Amino acid sequence: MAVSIQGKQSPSDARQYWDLVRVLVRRNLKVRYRGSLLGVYWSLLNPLIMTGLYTAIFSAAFASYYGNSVLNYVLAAFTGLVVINFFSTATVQALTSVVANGSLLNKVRLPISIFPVSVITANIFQFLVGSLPLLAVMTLLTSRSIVNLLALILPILALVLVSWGVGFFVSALYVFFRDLPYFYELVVFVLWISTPVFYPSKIVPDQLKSLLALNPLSSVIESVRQIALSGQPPDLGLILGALLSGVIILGIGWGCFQWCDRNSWIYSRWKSFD
Amino acid sequence: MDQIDLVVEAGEKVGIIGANGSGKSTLLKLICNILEPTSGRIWVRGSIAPLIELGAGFDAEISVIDNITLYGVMLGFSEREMRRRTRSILDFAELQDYASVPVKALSSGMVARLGFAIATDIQPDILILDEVLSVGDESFKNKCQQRIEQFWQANATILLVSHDLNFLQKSCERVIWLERGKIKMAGAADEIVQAYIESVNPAKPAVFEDESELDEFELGEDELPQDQAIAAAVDPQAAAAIDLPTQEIALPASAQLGSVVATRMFLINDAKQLIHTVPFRSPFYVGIEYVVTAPINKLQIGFYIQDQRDRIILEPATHNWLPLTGTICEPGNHCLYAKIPAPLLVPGRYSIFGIGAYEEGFGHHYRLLESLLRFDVELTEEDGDEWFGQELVHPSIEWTLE
Repeated sequence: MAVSIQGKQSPSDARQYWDLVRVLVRRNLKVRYRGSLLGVYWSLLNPLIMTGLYTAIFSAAFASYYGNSVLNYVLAAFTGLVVINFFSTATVQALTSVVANGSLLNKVRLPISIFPVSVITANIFQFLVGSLPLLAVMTLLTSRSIVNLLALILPILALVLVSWGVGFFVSALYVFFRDLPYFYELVVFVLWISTPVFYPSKIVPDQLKSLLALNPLSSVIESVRQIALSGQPPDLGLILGALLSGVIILGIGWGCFQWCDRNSWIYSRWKSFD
Repeated sequence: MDQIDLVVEAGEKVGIIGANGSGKSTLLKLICNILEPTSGRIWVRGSIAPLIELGAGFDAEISVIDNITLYGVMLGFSEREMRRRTRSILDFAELQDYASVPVKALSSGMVARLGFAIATDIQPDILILDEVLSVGDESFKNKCQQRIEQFWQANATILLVSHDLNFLQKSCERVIWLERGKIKMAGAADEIVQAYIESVNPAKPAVFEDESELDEFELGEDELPQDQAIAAAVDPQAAAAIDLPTQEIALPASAQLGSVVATRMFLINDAKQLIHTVPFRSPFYVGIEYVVTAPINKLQIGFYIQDQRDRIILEPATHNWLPLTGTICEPGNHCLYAKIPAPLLVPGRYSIFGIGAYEEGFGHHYRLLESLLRFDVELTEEDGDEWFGQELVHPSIEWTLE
């Protein structure tokens, strides 16, 4: 088959991609918070309430690990919850993003990656206006150092990279395996429990500690806590560890996504069922 | 799809025709790069509006204005550009009052209008239109046609899929006829459309010899002997230019509605002869031949009888008399007869105007809204004193005296 159609040259793809992300992010946020009173601030309220809950239940038991200070427990739990919350919301939303837009992809030519990218970007935006200001204030209060405030960006960048990588991976996988949401729910729960969010990492048995170190979110949370709560100058080792795992996961996720996209004859067959 | 070898030059207008499932939409998807060919290559140079269905990119939850931006950006335009165009799009779609309403609150006709307005406002180099003209009401359709004609003149490349063969013939230079994924024919529009029509309506002019076939408003399979074919089929276009044809007309391609193709209309008397004058006191029959090319669920067909001052005197339609389902829908050739009783139409000249068909699931469609056949109702000697020349119609009115 050979078809050839003439016209004039097309504008740049990168600009269109960026425009698309912006428009889709706005649509995403508008649809999500239409009619909602607090809107984007739910992404702050949610970890705050959860922190209150964990504090009420666990602070008495775990306070000894936090220098006998309930406040320290509150701060640790909050930082952990902000991170895990961002990760689980962003990736769960990314998971369905490609399939949910299957009928659209079947009718309009769009770069497929635009959907997980815009979902995660929408979550970044929520994070920037919701939780980040509070995290920044906490950092300034405890460390009184602008260096820590700036360094806070780095583990958060690592978090974004991890979420992005996982988001790419699961959104592509879901096209082929429709059982994935149920399985992924379990994965998120395992991550939630295996990440030292509401418990101190010291209580984990030594044999399991090395296993938990594989959890990329652990290194992100460690690094965020070190920068925001310890009052010490940022620990470069922790930051680099977090960034490294972020880059690796993004690489794997993006690679899988590209592979699925390239083998688009399979992909389009799946798309056509939506 | 197989063995598609096709070059479209810049500025060309190409129509694509073919039965349902022949691969028209698939070809467009391949051109838009929505699907990739399993073998072979496609080159597209220029900005292409990569959509094959109007309104496909709309998000029902967000407002009309936001959808305009979203849609335009999906078609490759910048956000700023789309904001600039919002006003003219809303104006064209006649949705100024709905700018901040979510799209889910619009009617389907409004959504289609919005889609068309955006797709054509952004003026891509290559415009792909898949059955866009089957949406919206008549006045909007006209507006759409005008806008497409502007595109025609602006030297844009256009690929048009439509079942409106008349329109294709008028507006495309080239037509490609697809059949089962292959190019059956390609070439000059007139030639291909004509060949296509001939293939879907096997020509079967007919006269009715058997009395029993002609019951009141009867529906029957057209299985009449070929040797009694009527000579001199009227060329509709040539005849219309001078005067309306009388007796019978082979309907042009626009008498197609989805899977229903009306092929011929004719007038006959009780003796099954083709007629052009009707005696005042004699009933007559309007015959409509049509072909159902693919299974459908429901169908009704009707027409108007207009007087000389273009007033609609009668509007016979099958659903008043026949079921919507069953034989009327079965694939194959059919012939409908509408018996017009007498006395009813007063002496004068009449035309049969429009032939409408209503296919369930497609919405309400009228095709061929034009005068098709002319006939005269004439007084004979013996009814000289029955009609006083005042009425519009003259049915038999029963009188009683007590």
